[in-house]
Amino acid sequence: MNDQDDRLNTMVSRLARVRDEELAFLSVGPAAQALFQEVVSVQKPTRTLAVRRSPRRFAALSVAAGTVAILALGVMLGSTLIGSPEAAGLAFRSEDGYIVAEVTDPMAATEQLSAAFAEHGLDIDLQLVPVSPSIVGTVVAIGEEGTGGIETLQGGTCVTGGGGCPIGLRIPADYEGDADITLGRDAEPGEQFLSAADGFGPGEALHCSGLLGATVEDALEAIDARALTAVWRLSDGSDVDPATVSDYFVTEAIPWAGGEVLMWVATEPVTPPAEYLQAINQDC
Amino acid sequence: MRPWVRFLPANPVGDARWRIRESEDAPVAEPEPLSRFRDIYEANYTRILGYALRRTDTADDAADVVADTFLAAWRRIDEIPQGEEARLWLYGVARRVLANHRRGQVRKDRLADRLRLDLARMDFVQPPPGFEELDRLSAAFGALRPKDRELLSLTVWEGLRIEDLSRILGCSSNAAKIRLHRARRRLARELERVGARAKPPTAVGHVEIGRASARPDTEEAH
Repeated sequence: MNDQDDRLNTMVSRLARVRDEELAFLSVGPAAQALFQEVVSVQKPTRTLAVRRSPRRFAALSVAAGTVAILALGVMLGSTLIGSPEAAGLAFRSEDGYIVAEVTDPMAATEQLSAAFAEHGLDIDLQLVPVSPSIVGTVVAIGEEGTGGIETLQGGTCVTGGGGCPIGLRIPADYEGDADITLGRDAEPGEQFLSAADGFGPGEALHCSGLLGATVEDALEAIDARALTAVWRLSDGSDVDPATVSDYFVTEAIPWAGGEVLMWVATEPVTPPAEYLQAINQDC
Repeated sequence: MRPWVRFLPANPVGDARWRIRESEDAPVAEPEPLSRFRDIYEANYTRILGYALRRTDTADDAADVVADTFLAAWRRIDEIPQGEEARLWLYGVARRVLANHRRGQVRKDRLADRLRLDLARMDFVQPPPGFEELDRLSAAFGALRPKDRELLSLTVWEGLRIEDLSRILGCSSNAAKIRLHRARRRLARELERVGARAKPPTAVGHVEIGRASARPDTEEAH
């Protein structure tokens, strides 16, 4: 490191709002203790784990998508395969001035996936997050610097809060931006989903259950029959013992982890739009 | 420019390291994963908190990033490498959590409530007079690509070495070195552009973080 580097380091250091040493007094504080206790108490969905209420929360950036996106390479007429899809975990093709990328192996190493983009001259970092079954292998989020330009390739049957069901990416062939792409992968047993489709949608634990709008009493029975575990939550975000609200109505179901769902209930049933009902009840 | 931060009243805490155990001589040994997580947590809590505070706009956001990072660590305790590597592993997780946060994907939950309360004592304030130069520095730094900023931040703020960067970023040491070199070069260029030459600091030093006298309305009960 030369003098110039030293000077730059000094300047950057002045931009740090706080130094670790200055936080030492917080390390012995009750907040540190409380957080520790809460974290280690988490093994299954508990009331402390009020993960985002719904994928709708991050609809603006979320483009969570449908079933495993191994679809359709062969049926894309007029497209040209490029690269070596199997090896990379991604399939690329060139189409109308775009590079279209679809995930073929949602469990591939992120380095491998990023390298596959790099092979096509794209500066795109990939990360994989555990997601509910119907959105494994799909695009969960896109983060771009600058003007953007990456589009999603729609398809699939999943029902997401972000709308649509993108199964791949359409990247301008001359793309020079810098993007971070988040893809969904299978969750390990017991692993919490970081993104989830609608719990009543195709491919999810409560698809065709008819529980949307059902009473808690009926839902309890159905959930038990499906060998699922549920956390019950009121619209104010507080957890509730379902036995105390058996006459309430199910308003939403969020997949939480494999075999675990978060059930939202309220005193009044919801009246969802017809398109939504049609989407969640596909193939029922 | 992001506001600077200083601490408002700190609740009195003992000098002794806190322990979760009800008593030090508790006869029952903790399960291995728990004791290991405790060691990792205690050793890295302020580091991850500092990492988050230096990169988020509010204490609330920082609390969420810290909570999510340690939650991920607890869930993946078996994957955390031994020794000093654990710190780098945690920085890697925090980096991803922060990226999700910036995409609006971080939850606002009760997990971090207590920490949020603690951090509420921190007051985000504008820097004192004489910060014009720092403002230019901040502008130059802010004009960099996020990846360049993170390389420089990890190096300077977290004090990481080239080989540490390579582990966190998942690249070779040589690649990390080259990337860092380029990031420095781009920063120097931006500094030239905004008129803040890369020269030794003048009178403006690091922002002092004070623990000001107690402010009753933010003091919490115990």
